[in-house]
Parts: sequence; C-alpha cells; structure tokens
Amino acid sequence: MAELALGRQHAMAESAGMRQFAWLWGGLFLVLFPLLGLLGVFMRMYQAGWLQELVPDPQWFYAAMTLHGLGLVGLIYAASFVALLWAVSPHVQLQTRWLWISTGLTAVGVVLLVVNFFNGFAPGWYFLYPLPFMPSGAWSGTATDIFLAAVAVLGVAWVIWELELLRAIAARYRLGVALGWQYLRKGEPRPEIPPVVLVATVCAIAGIVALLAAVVMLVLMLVHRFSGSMVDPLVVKNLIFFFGHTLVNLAMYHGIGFLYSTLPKYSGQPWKTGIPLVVAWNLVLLLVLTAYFHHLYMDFAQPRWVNFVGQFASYGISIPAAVVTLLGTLSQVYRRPVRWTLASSLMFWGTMGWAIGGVAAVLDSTVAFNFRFHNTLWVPAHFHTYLLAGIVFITLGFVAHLAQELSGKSESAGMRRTILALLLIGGYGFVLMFYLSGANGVPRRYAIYPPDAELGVQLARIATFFVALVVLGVLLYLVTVGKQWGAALAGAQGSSASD
Amino acid sequence: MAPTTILLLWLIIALLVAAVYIYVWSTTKGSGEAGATASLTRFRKPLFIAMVVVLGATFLLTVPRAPYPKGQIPDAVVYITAKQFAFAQSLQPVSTDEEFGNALGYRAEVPVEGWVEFRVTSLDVNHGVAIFDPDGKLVGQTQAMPGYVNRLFVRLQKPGSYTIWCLEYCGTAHHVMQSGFEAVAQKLSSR
Repeated sequence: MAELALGRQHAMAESAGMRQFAWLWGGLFLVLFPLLGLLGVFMRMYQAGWLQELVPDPQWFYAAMTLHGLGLVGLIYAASFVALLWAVSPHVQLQTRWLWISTGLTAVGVVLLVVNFFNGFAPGWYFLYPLPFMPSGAWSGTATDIFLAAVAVLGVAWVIWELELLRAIAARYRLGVALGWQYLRKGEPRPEIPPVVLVATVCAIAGIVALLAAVVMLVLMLVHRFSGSMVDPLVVKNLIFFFGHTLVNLAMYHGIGFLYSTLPKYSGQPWKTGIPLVVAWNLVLLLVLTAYFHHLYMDFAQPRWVNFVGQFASYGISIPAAVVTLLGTLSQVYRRPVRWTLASSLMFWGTMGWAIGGVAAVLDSTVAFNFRFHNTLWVPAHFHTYLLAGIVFITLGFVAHLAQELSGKSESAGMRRTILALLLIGGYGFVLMFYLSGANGVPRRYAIYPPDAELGVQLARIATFFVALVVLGVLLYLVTVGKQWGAALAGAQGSSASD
Repeated sequence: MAPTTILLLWLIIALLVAAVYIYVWSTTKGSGEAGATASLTRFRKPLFIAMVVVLGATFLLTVPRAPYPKGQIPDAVVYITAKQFAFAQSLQPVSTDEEFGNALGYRAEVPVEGWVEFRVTSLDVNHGVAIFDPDGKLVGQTQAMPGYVNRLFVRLQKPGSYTIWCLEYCGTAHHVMQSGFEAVAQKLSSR
C-alpha cells in the first residue's frame, strides 16, 4: 500500500515535471520558430533581388540558408518530439531529469550553431562532405570545428532522450508488445496498447538507429579533420541522408503520435489500436530506414538496385500514411460534433499538408522524374508543404493545445478563423511558387539567379507576398497563444505561492 | 513525362485532397451525429488497393526509364570536371589542377540526336552537372563527386547552345558556376 502511494506520489511529481518541461519547449518554439522562419523570408527576398544592394555579399544568404535549415529541422524534430513525449507520458513513466539534460545540451548545440552563423558558416543544412572542410576561403577551420562540436553535442542530447523514451516504454511493455505484435495473433489482444505507445516505440527505435548513423558520420569527419585525408564521400553522403532524412520523417511521425492521442479529445471518438494500425507502423519502421536512398538517385556510382529500393520504400511508406493516418484523421471528424479550436484545427489541416506534400514527394522519389527535379525548387516545394503546412501546423497545434490546457483560456472563433485563413492561404501560395519554379527547372540554393532563370526572380517576388500573409498569421498566433502562455505561467506561480 | 505535366498531375491530386478535406470539415458543423457510426474507414480497403495498383504500375513503368547507363554506345564522349566554381570540359580525363586549368575555356561540340556520354567528376567538393537546352529546359543531370565518375547519357534533340549549371550546393559562389557546349549536326570536334 505504501509502495502504491509512493508510486502515485512519484507519478504526480513526474507529471508536474512533464508539464514544466512541455511548457518550456512550447515557449522555445514560440520564440525560435518565428526567428528561424524570418531567415527564410530574408532568403526569398534576397532571391527576389530586393536585398542584394543592402547585403552585397551572397555569403550571408548561404549562412542564413544553413541556419534556417539546420535550425528548423532541429527545432521541428525536438518540439515535435516533446509533443510526442507529452502525449505518451500518461502511459509510461518518463524520468524528466534526462529530458532536462537533453534540453540543456540542445541549448549548447543551438548556441554553437548561432555563433557559427556570425562566422559565416554556410555548408547548407546537410553539410555535404567534404564542403565543411573545403569552403574556398568563405569560413575558417575554427568554424568547422565549432560545427562538429555542435553536431556531437546535439547527437548526444538527442540520443539521451530517445533512449529515455525507449527505456520508459520497455519498463512497462515488452518490445513486441509495444510494437503491437499481439494484435496479429488470433483472439483478443492482451495487453491492449494505445496508438501513441506504438508510434513512440517506432520513433524511438528509428531515431536511435538514425542517430547512430550520425555518430559514424561524425567519426569519419573527425578522421578527415585530424588526418587531413579524404574519406569516402559517397559513404558519408549515405550516412548524412540516412540520418537527416530519417530525422525529418520522424518529426512528422512524432506529430502523428500526438495527433492520435489528442484529436480524440476534440472529436469525442477514441482512436484505438487495431491490426491495420499495427501493420502500418511496423511497415513504417522498415521503410523509413530505406527511403533515404532517393536523395542519391543522381549519384550514378551508387549501386543501381539501391536506388530502386529507395523508390520502392518511398512509394511504400505513403500507403500506411494515407490508408491509416490520413483516412483515420478524416474518420475522426467526419459528421462528428468536433470542438474546433486553434489546436484541433491546426492538427486537422496539418495532416492535409502532409498529404499534399507527400504526393509531391512520391513524384520526386520516382527515379525517372527525379532526373529533372533533383535540386530544383521542387525539392523545397514538397518539403515546405509537409513541414510548414504539415508538421509545423501540428506543432503549433500542440503548443496551442498546451497553452489552453495549462491556462484554461481559449481564443475567439473570429481570431481562430483569421489565423487559419492567413496560414493556409499564405502557406499554400508560398509553396506553389516553389512548385512552379521547380517544374520550370529553377535551381534551389541560388542566392542570385542568372538572367536565364529570371522566372525564379519573378516567382520569388510573388512568394514574398504570400510569406507576408504567413508572417501576419504567425504574429496573430503568437499574440493569441502568447497570452495563454503567460496566463499559464502566472497560474503556475500563483499556485506554487499558495502551496 | 515532362516536368510541367508532373506539376499538373500534382496540382489535380492536391486539389482533390483539399476538396476531400474541405468536404469532411464541412460535415463537422452543427450538432453532428454524436455516437453515429458514420465512418470513412469503409474506404480503407478500396484506397489500399487503389494505391497498391497505381503505385505498383508507376513503379513498373518508370523503372525502365531510369536515366542510368544501359549499355549505349556513345556517339561522343565529353569529360566534365568540376572544381569550385567552374566546369572544365575536355576529351580526356582531367585529374590534376594543372589539367583542369588547361581545359578551362574549351567548349565541346556534340552531335544532336546521337548518344552523348558525359563522364562527370569533381576535384574538390560535390557539385551537380545539370544540362539545360537552348530553350532553358532541364534535360538531365548527374552529381559530380570527388573520387567517382558518374556516366550521364543524354540524347539531345535540338541543335544550339546548351548550358550547364551546378545543381549541388558547393559553396558561397555556387550560383555563378556555369558552363556550356554546342550541339551541332556533325561529329564531335577534336581538340
């Protein structure tokens, strides 16, 4: 009995710790997402030709591109992971001290990346080896060293919280049970598992494998750093994309785990685990680790069969997404009296961004099509669709959900509609300019377009109009959710004072 | 399939997806049907079958059209070597900075409608070799990776000046890295 009481006391303390942890990360997302997003606005305005006199050195475009990409990939991965932890925490007992250690190390890594922006460090978000070591005089060796340190620190930070998630799951469920294999046997599944536990297990396993690839990549880069001799660039490129692509995919899956557990609170319909869900997520675990090959289609030296495995996996992974998650989301709300708030709306429309961006990704993952799309603006077109209009919407939904839950306050329907309209119209108009550019062969990652690519300049100008709508939508979101965030803090301080 | 056709295909599917979302969202207004069994999960099996068929067929139809060498006998061979921030073209492999310097400025002439093989590599970082036709359309590409030679086969349809742009980010002057060659109705010139 005493043990039970102690367990409950511990759970309550952990729950309070989880609230503080989620509150901090929600706040970090509210601050960092707009700042890192503004770097993207700067890039589109630069490509539109409006800032080239003000900032004549294009190195700042590329440094901004690097911090924008690295920063947002990292932030979206981390914030969506926190959303997943928040969603899974009622089912498993997480030790928040490990999560705080990860957060502290992440902060160190972020500071190093920001310092490197001012060092002019600009190898792009996937820092394709050996570019960090051969900058043609654009940045110093010290900047590369700082970057390697940042990657190492972030890698350790994220392995820690992925391991803690896996440990917490393993403490309650056997691995096969957490992966839902009992559902595939005849008879009633025992024990039942919530969908978020299944998703969290898949994400933690794939996340750890991806981060281990990052460790190998880092070791190879350190060999270059200390020996001065080249290591195999094709091997390193495989490792970079195995790690980078998987991490970006996982960010989406983190958000889906959160969606499974939270959308039912607004629709009133439980989201249960069944055979389709189990089969889908076990397939995802296999396919997410092989889809990355589509980044190397244009490396003709790569064994050909590997590239077709990439196409097969990229096609295959879209099926569980559509058949289980997207159809499941639509089923959740179809003809239901859904409580539409900013949070539930952003989650719902975020899955549409995943679907529409996913279609473009599947097209681009076709080897024959990639021949004309690779490294054109089609690439940022599809990933901005499922990142900005997909997982960012869901993460903004998570923060809004958290703010409402912690403060007890909600936004007006008018404000909700205004924010959604601005984000949807602005977001889709913005990415449409990328698609039009990509289909016309406009290259990505050009600070200045040559006269032959004038279309890129014109479409960048139209894109900035739509970006302005997104910025306005995000500002209104910040004002709305920021107030709830502040109220939650005041409430927490008030209750601790009265304690 | 032309990129603009693929764009149109994407646009049609995207609009269909948006229409489904807007329709489903519109059914959630009002009091709704709490507890009703109305569910879209009955579409799960048809959607699964449709996706398997469409994606399977697309896979089988497009794999043979992958741009990898298929044993073609080239009518012309051009070596393209990349180095921050220029391309050197030559009729012989380039493996040193000196050879790279000597080859700069040479502009190849290749035959139209024959198979042209570009043997692509890099002396420093990764680059991309993307070929744009005289109308500015992207006809094909491959990566230029140090230590590897990527063999790109293209059959050029139009005579005229073709442009090569670097399509893999290679440093802070990436956007100026360009070259070009001529496609003519005659055999490859010798140097």
